[in-house]
Amino acid sequence: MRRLSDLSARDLEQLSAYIDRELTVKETARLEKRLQADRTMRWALAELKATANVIEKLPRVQPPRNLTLTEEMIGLPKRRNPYPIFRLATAIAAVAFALVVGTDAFLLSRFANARMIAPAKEAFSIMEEAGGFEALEAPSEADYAQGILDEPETLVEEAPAALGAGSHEDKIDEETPPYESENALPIITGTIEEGQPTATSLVVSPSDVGQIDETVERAAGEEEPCEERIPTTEEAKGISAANEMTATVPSLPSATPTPERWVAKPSLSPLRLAEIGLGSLAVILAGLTLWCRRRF
Amino acid sequence: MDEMRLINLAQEGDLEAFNQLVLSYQMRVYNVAYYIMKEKDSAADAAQDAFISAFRKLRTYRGGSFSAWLLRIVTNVCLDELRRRKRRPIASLDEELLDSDRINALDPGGLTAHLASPEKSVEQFELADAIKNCIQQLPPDFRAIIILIDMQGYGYREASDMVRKPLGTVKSRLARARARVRDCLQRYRELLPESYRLNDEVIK
Repeated sequence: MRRLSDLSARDLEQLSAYIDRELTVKETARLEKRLQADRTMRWALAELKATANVIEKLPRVQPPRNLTLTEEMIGLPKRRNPYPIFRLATAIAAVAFALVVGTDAFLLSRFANARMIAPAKEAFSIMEEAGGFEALEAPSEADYAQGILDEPETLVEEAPAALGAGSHEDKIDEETPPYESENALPIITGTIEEGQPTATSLVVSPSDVGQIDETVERAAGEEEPCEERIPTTEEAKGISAANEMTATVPSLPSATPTPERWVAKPSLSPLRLAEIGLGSLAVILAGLTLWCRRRF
Repeated sequence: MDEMRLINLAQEGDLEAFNQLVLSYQMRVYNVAYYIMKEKDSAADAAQDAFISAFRKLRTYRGGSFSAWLLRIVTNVCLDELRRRKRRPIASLDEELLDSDRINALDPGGLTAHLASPEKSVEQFELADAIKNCIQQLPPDFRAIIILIDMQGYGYREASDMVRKPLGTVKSRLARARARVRDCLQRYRELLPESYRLNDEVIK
């Protein structure tokens, strides 16, 4: 019996590489020539092939345990599943949101009525006490005759001109607050628009008169940047008419909010802000909860 | 889920995805460790360490054969462990034969496949044990190379990369390892099947 180990290392290496097709074409050709001539080399090649085959067929062994890793093994602290926490937080945020919305709706319905009724009542009672309704009635022919008021046509036609070719109209429109209900008194913008107003409708709201007064005073008092803004005779006439009108109306507290009040009022109440905040929070938390549920 | 997707997830720290890869490769990794370490428990520990190391180094994986990358890690873990033991020898208490109950039943081409009778079965297990003993008599570096190339089927270049040795060294060590195993198996000639029987009659 011969030992493969007795062969030279060079021959063994060549034969082993030949089995695995790791020789170059040149080396392969040279070795094959040698194999044809050398019986020992053929024997050694057969032995090496058989050995490689035996090793290849060696049975695989099952691991004694599962080799999957845990967080402790890789040095990570065990992660707690945040899903229950997020679920609870989402529920709390949703309930809080519902409560705030409910409270807001309740307060709105309650105070909206009070806000509409109370000032109107107050205004009417004050006007009654002051006998203002008589004063606010339609001007008589005598008023016109005495020169307290100009003829309605004059006022209607000249007032826009006196206010300065539309620019002041726009100003009034911007400053005039929208009415909260149909019960509210007519607004001055309605009386200034061309073709619509009458002197009668003009005197319905004392506050509107005050507004006209302010606007006209501003129109008259402001320094106009353009030449055409300089008050003309016609404008002066309109201003004097408005001033005279103001004089005829008793000074009464305003039943409707003044423009300044509307401007100063905040656009979002704290309740609305809370609604938006809680709503957004609930949506974000719900998203995180869903993500956690899928992830963990 | 495909392997690349699992690797990407694992690279982002997803342990669950990495464990799916572990389940796919643990058999191969464990077998390499088992034949290099010669002991069942040491092999399991080495394989486990290799997976831990692989998870930590996963960001350095830059594509290519993932199994080759894993086997390089396990080979190095095993060789490092054997070198450490050589410096500080410890008495092995769990040296054992191949466990017949752990031999993979899904190995159709293996030596234990198609067992005809209990006697035949015993012979096959004895043969497997003989081959294992012969392989385990090799030096660790030789052992790693013969397992990676002859048992796991990797090419010379891949094996060279795994054991971090030059290609020439791998060629040379493989040839010498095969020759030594063949010489060792001559003691068990009667166990070798007809088709695998090594013959020295050629030169008679």
